[in-house]
Amino acid sequence: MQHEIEVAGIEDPYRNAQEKGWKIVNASMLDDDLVLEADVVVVGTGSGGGTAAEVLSEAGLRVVMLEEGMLKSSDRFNMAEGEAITDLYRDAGLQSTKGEGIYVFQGQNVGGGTTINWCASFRTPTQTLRHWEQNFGLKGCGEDDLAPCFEIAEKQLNIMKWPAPPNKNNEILKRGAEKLGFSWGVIPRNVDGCWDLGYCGQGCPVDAKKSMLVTTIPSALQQGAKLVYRVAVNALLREGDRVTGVEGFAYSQDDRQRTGKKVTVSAKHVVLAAGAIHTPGILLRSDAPDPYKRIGKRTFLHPVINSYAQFKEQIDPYYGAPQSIYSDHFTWPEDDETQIGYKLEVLPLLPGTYATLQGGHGAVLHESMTKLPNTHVLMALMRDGFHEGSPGGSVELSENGRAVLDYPLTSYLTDGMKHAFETMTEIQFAAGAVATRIGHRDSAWHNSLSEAKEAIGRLPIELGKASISSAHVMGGCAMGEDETQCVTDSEGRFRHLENLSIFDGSLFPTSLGANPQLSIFGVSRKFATKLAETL
Amino acid sequence: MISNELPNGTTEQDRLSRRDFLGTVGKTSVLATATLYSASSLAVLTSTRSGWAAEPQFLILRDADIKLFGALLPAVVQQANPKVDSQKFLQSLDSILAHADAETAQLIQQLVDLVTGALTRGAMTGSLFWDWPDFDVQTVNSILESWRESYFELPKTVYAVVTRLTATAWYMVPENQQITGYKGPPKKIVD
Repeated sequence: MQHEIEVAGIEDPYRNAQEKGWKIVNASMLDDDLVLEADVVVVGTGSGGGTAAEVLSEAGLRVVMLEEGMLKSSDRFNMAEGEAITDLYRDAGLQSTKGEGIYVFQGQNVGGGTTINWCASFRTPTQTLRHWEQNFGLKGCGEDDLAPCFEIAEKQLNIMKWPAPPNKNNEILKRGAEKLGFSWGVIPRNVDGCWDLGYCGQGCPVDAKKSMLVTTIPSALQQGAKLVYRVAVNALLREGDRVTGVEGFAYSQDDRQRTGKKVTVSAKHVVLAAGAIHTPGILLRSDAPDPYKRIGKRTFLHPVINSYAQFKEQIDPYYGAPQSIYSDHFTWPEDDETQIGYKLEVLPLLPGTYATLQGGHGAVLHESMTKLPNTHVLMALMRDGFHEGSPGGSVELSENGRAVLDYPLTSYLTDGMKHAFETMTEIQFAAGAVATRIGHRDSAWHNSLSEAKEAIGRLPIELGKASISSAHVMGGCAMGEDETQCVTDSEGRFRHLENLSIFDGSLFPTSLGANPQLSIFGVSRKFATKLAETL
Repeated sequence: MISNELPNGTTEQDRLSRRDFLGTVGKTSVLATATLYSASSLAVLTSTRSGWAAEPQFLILRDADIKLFGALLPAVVQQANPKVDSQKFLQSLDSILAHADAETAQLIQQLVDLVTGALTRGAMTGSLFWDWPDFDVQTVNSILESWRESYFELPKTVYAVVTRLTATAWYMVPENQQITGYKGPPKKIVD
């Protein structure tokens, strides 16, 4: 049995950090305000910040990395779902768009999303790059321009198609797609020596996942970069139109209390890589010039909907590599006008995740939960932002200055969601499901495709009723040459202030149509390399 | 530059504005308030810092939270096994709220105040004289159903927030996860 496996013999790279001379500061322990100087300060340590920190340190620049979350590494990754959600996810997994809308899961830890994602590593789709070039005037980011950066990341992070058999959860997607004649493929993953356990979302306990936590960040530290964690950057420091650094607040170690200590870093250049909600948030709090009012606008989520299915066979949807099979059969429909595209994947379904995604109470919840080992789950990621019917959301500041996302649904999106619910249900019944239920508060379990389809037609897709979530936040600081739409140029430099770059998912002018980490590695490496040449 | 300071503790002024808010709700009615304010704008009505722990073992949970979530638990998770360990559940809930953004925890505790407060509880539960610990599972279930099917936004939001939080906190506890048939993770040995 899976649970009888013992995980041992792993050497956590942070275990001897001090002997290695790594400069790591836990801001929660500061007795006084901390004032630092650097060539470059990088805000955020996820796929964008982690990559940039390595590239800039290798170029001989003095780099300070700032991270709001905790530093946890493999010695403390015990695969417990509850501990992971409170320690590694923003807002303890409770972050949602305005009005209990869409649940938005973002990493908040040293390593960011890469510490807790499910390893899918796709290059940016060609269609997406072409769309950005044609509609936003993006230059120098064609397929051939980015290929060398993707190759470096693929080599460094050992990205390759998953060579082992898929787990049951993924195998069912493949089985159903094959029965219905839908195309499918094997997901490339950034792992080396993977134990196939299934706990990518809780922090890899065996350091097989080549996250920023165990690759670029140690490499930057080895080059002399400094890491300060448990500090939330509030705003940019400025002298007129020149950015001169950042200032932030230290947080206590075990909860979200401010300690009262301040962290200030003055630097020749600032890189914002805090993710597509908080990078725009920092810009808005800093009152950054924005003549066309584009900061935080057109924020995209790949909104995700789920379909659950019960099978006679045991699925154990929590064990084994979480994502190894995908289908792009519906990602790029011929006619975007009538149909939004969506990508199909599965997700690892641990008990807490299942309860969170389902919502509701009483008998229905209980019945679903007690059949978990025989439950399969599919998800559809809506490719938002490519059509006027999906303009995305906008990042705003609350009265307290917190960045929040407002993301209204449109009929173009909800029509697409109905289509995706039907497709997922078809796949599950084709693969042998005995009952299916869509992720919707008012959905029952249905024993036949016709019954399930009738219910899908009837149930309204509204926030608060349909369970919609996201793990991919993109946009809000679009890159490109069209300055009426793009606050950053084609190299990630912020247009309206000097000495400021943005290297994270907020650069993307639309969503991607694929899981974002490799796209972010690629552009961050390209832009950081260029930046290093100029400093 | 805009200041983003959040108060570290609850000041007297905070307490006053909190009372004013609840007073206003009491004078008009909860349902009228529901049409005026969405859940997210509730947070800006007061600047109360979430949480002053009721018990030393909790970081955030107050008496009102313990009272409400303790009463909701059996109705939400419909535990076949009557031996519900509410202490572990409350610890899990406390940990989630303590690690959440201050504003999130604050919003949730304002909703808790709304359905437990002396002035507003009656309108939210339909019971003027009884309090949450007095309700049996059937009554709690009826209250949840009425929120869920309400015409107004606020009760619907309360329903979504408190049920999801209860179910999540419960099913994040390793012992409770076994109820689902999940055998748990492999054993981790750090040597």
